[in-house]
Amino acid sequence: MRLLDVGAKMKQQFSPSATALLYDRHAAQMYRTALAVLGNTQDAEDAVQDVFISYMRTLPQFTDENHEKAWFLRSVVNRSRDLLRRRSIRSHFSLEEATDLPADTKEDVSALFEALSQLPEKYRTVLVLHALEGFSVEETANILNAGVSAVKMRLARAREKMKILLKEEI
Amino acid sequence: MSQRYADAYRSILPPDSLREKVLSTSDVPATQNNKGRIVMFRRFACLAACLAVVAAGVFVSGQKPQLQVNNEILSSVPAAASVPFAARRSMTQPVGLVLTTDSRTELSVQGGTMNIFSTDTQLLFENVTQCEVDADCIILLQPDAANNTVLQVNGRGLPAAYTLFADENGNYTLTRE
Repeated sequence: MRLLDVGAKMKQQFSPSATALLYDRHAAQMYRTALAVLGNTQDAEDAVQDVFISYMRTLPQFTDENHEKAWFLRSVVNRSRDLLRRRSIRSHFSLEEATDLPADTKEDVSALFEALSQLPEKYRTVLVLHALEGFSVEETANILNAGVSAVKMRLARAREKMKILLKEEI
Repeated sequence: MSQRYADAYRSILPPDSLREKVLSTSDVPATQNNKGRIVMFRRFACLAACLAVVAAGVFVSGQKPQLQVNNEILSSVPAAASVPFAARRSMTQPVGLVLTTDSRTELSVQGGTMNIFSTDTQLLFENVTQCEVDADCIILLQPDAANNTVLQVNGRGLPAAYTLFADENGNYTLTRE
């Protein structure tokens, strides 16, 4: 009975155009984050799709756009972590089939993702959200449901490791 | 992290096929919709299976052997309580008991013998002091005149002993030990 109710709610409130709007607003960040955590394009696509399905099932109410963005990012990080645990994915980045990037950009992306794959997942995720996606430390902490000090510590360690891995000043 | 890497990272976009997949998900009628629904169904299925196992366990464990005389279930009377019956009969006459069971049940008797009949009156065991049955049966207990007669019933690991007494008036009493 409960499932039917959820279905009816979905049909009423979740139109394809609403899906498209949400997708355009959040999918790129979600996909990149999932790709950085999981290391392969197929799993990243699965993670993003699963989050949208979850959204359509539960239709959470958001107070504002930041709340909405944080929900989608948090969900995709959690889903990616689930997939990582369940499939024992060894992160190795292969972007050949997924991107139409120019050659030099592709080279940078490959180097970056190769370095990210050497980091523990908890360092990788904070670095991606803060340094690459541009979230503040507080927003990153909120997305990851972690403390601000923990995020700062992980960021510092992630930066140190990336500095060595990318052989550059970060 | 250098801007070069950040820019390269942000140039990554999801493939168009993903957009189509997500959008097609929202077109599908809710009842056929998604993996989450399957997961939910599996959870309910697991829960139902667990409940069925528990219910079966409770039901089966409730089917312990029952011994009846004169329509009274002896195994349900409190331990050490007596059930008088079959007044004015000789101690050497057989005593009829009904055993209700659906599992392997060991029967043994001391101070007498027994004949076991199926519920359709087929003789299963004749003048034995011990046997095993796995279905309802009728026990004709033949006491020795000189001894108290003790019938032991052991099914589903729940042993019970019943002692048959006769008073001076010829009344029987079965006492559950």
